[in-house]
Amino acid sequence: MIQWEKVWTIATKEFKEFRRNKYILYSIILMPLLLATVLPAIYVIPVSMFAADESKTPMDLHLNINLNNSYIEVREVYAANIEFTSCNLTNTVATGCIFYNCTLTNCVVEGSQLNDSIVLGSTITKCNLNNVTRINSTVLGSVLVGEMTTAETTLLLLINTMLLFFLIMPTIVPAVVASYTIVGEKLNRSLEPLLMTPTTDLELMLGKSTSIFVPTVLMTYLAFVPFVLIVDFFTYPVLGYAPLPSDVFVIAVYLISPLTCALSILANIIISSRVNDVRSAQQLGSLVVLPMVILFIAALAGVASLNAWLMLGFGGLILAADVVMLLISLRLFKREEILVNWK
Amino acid sequence: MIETIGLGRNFDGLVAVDDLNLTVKNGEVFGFLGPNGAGKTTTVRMLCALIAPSRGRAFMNGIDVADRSQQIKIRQMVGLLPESPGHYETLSAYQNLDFYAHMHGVPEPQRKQRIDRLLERLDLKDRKDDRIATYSKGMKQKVAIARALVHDPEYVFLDEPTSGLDPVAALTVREFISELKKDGRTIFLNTHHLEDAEKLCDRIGVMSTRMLALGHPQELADSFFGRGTVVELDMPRPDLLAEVQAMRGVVAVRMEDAKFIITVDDPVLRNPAIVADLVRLGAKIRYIEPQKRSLEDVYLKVVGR
Repeated sequence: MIQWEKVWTIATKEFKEFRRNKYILYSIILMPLLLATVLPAIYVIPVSMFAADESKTPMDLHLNINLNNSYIEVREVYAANIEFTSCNLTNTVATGCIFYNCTLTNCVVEGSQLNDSIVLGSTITKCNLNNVTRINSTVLGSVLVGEMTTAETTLLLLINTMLLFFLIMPTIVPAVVASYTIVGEKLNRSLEPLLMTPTTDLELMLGKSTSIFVPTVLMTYLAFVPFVLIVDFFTYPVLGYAPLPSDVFVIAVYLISPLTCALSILANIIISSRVNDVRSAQQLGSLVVLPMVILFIAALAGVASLNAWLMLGFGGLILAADVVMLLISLRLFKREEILVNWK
Repeated sequence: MIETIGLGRNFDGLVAVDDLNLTVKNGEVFGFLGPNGAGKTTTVRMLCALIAPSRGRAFMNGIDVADRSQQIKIRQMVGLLPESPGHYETLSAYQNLDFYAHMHGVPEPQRKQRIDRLLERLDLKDRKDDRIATYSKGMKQKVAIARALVHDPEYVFLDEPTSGLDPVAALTVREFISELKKDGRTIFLNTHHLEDAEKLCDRIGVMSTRMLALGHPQELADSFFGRGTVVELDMPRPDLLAEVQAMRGVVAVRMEDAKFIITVDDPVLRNPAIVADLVRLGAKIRYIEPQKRSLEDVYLKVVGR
């Protein structure tokens, strides 16, 4: 039976120590808040400002259609002011035309309106494109109606990239703090008196872990608020909607970040049993971020798209890793083990 | 009562403690002596249920230290001063003691009272709210002693309590240990300070992996050196040496300057006759006293120097 009062007594003692350690305070409070505000400011604001020049509103092409063609093959001609419906055009130069459901191959199109069509190996200049599939084609000075602009795509990519921060932060902070609370205590020789108290090994481990887990997760949650506000404030004018909190972010911040935090704490308990200085503990503990980085590299490289299901699956993997690490930690965090075998 | 029966502990095949048989009665101050690496700390850790014995058994107040279900009970009745004070240096002495009192489940009204009393007794009250990092080594040691006692344990294990203390602080600690004894606590004193052991302990054990000698300091001196009498004459009389050697009850005799150092099987019974015989032989006796052997003599003899 776990005596939670003792667990909390250990945790509150640690909190008192944190309050007097500027380095830990900086790691727990200042670093997340700074990153949550500075990161979006650095990445989002410039792109948003640049995006103001881009428009999704169709251009007024002043079209003057004087001929309609349907279901015909057009090859090597110059077409002007013609409406094509379900036509195949090859090696054709077109200007001031309208295309519905056409296929254009190796064409040059200027000042036209393209709807629900496919363009292959063509050059499209100063056109309005609405649901146009482009294959090996160049589009210049045109408006992609209903599609995301480059700025929008960039913004969403940047926002997704910053999700990594909310997964990495709860793993880095415990690496810093645990190195002080466990390795530091070992170096300071204050573990033995603590081990002499009438507590179970599990209560001691939970007390230490709680002292790291609670502030880290709280600060992650707290840092998410200014992050969302800043991102939404600067991206709303460009996107026309507030992108955060999205389901991916909510799962990452509120579900996965506590799991990654726990993983980091447990990893640090294991590391603490094998190293004898704070720096080594921090460096080795920081390696826990690797799975998160790999996920992101994969997502950004297009191997997997960041969606709620992927995040839930990732959360499940971290949870499984937590269970494995917990079992190892419980085996290592025993009085006898600490006194006899910990380096 | 502390009791060990054939207690032993190995570390990676190396024997740290072997076949330790020991009984320490309640209220006794027991001095545990031995060179570095003799197994003293390992023994204390086993008795405090911090590490398990490899063989044999140990009981604290009848509770088997190897019984995992009872280990919390053992830690409740035991206070330990480890070799290094090991404080939370960013916290004050009061905060450190309050934390340990909490952990031992000392209820609120008693907690403050007990901490204040300990801090006052150890001359730390004026600095109780200062961070321990600002304390001297002696002050840290005193706080560690207070920590070992904050839950009012029946058994107190003190590992080098006066180590690194200045003479005044060491005296304060010694007096404090004497007070603990008067309270009826059982004290297990690990020390290299033989003077401390001699002054404070009812019995001592000299250990080097296994127990080499056990008993009251004087009993040990008697058993290792015999019960000697020093007879100082007005002038050296080597001519009397053979005659003294032949006297009844004399085990050994030697002369140092004008003194006969005579080892006798029963000084109380034999000394009057020996003195009378010396006078009869013409020796002029200045004074007679029992030969004093320090614990250091015993220790050095036991550990093989």
